[in-house]
Amino acid sequence: MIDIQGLKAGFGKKEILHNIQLHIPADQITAIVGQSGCGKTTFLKTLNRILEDEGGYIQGQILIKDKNIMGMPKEQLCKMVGLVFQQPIAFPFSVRRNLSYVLKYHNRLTKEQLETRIVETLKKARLYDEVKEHMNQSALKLSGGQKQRLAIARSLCAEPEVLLLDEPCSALDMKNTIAIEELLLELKKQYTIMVVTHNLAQAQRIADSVIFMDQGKVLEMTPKEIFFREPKTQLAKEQIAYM
Amino acid sequence: MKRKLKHMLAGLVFCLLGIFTAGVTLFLFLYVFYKGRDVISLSFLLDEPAGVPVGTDGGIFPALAGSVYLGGLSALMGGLMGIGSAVYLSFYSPNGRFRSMVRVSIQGLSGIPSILYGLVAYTFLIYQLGMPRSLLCASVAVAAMIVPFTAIRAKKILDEKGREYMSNSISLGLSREYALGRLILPVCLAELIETTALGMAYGMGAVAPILYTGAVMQSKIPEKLTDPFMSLPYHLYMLVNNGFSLEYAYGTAFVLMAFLLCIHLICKVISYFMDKKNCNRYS
Repeated sequence: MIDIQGLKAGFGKKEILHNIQLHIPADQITAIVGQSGCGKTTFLKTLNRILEDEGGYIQGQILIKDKNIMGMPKEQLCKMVGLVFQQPIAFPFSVRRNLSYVLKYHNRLTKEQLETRIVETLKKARLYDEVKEHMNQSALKLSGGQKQRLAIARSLCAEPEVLLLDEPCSALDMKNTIAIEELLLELKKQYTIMVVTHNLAQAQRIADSVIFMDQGKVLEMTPKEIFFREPKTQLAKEQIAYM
Repeated sequence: MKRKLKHMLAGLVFCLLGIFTAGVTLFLFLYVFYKGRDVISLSFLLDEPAGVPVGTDGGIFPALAGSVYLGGLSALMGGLMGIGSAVYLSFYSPNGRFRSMVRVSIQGLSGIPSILYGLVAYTFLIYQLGMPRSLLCASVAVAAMIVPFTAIRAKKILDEKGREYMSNSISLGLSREYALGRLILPVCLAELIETTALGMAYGMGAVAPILYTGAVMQSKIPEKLTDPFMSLPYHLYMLVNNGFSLEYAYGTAFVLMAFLLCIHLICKVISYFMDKKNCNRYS
């Protein structure tokens, strides 16, 4: 699904990611773990090239479904590779308009079709039951967990093939974390999902594969069971021991 | 005990500084009003200047209208350019040399004395291009003066409110123009209008940029952009500079101050209601 060869990225003269080679399989959850500042988020932001918008550079080859994303128009790429940020953001619109804002841009839909798509997407994001009575109310009034699921729903409106999530549960309580994790497990049937997390327990709960990073390098990428049973590096062993 | 005393002293000093600032403003208003109280009346506001020398009798209506025209035109030009530059700097420019150049230019412009805007506008528009001294030339000079004012403030507003919305929108595969038009500008509109209106008030109070470019001692209300015009600060300057009438100068000054204060208050009210409307819209 995603093939990465010789990936280097950084800001100005500072290289943050060093020569990353990876193959990420389709329709599963890949967790990117590692210590703070090891380059997890930077790596995630190379996959839809949003790093370039933040003033960074990306070198190397990233193929998604055999298409080199480096030559792809940014809008097309961001539609194909959705990114959900760490801080859940609700746009200052109603819940309905948060989704129609994206749907209207990518599709030509009648009013009825639009409504159907909004309901479908909210159901997919496991949010519909909680907001169906308040569709026209401000999304700013939603809780943190609801806002995060709304952000995921918004990403799904663009019909991505890959969904990237940057520490989606870092600001959430246990109940909302479980809701997001269950949602991701449901969504992996249709989407290739990559989640940055500093929480190894979370990676163990939801991931199929684990990418372990340190100082801008990928130290290992293995199926979850192997990573937690026989980690290759001493650093990973230490972190797993402290779980 | 010592810490408590320090805390009280600091509170007292800052309170006195606050009272001093408010006091200076109030004193200025009251003093100017007191000095010009005998000439301030409805006819002073609505009549044309009269007397010999002109301005020593009659009213200031053409100057009031000229100031409104000048403020409106320059705010339109300067506001659009300032907000446009801010949008570019916040959402379009890559982090490179050109961006730094634009940013430094805007900051540099904000430090240029206002007389220089008048001088350049006079040299280029009137002397080189042969345009008449007019409302248009003066508005261009004032617009150039308020561009950095609006650009710096608009960039702050867009950065604070719009950055996250823009990066979230881009990551959804939306274009920058769509995010700007449908989300960011509507959300920031009230504050951008307020910034432009404050720029307008700033421009309306300036004498130096209009000194050589369009303001005159006596004229009718301008009917065309190429007509010369009267303006309140210029009228005030002429009355004081030539020693015609200090009483009429204070009357003019009070009207100018009250008028600028009204613009500030109107902006605050518009901004308040627009924000309230936005809040109520979906709650």
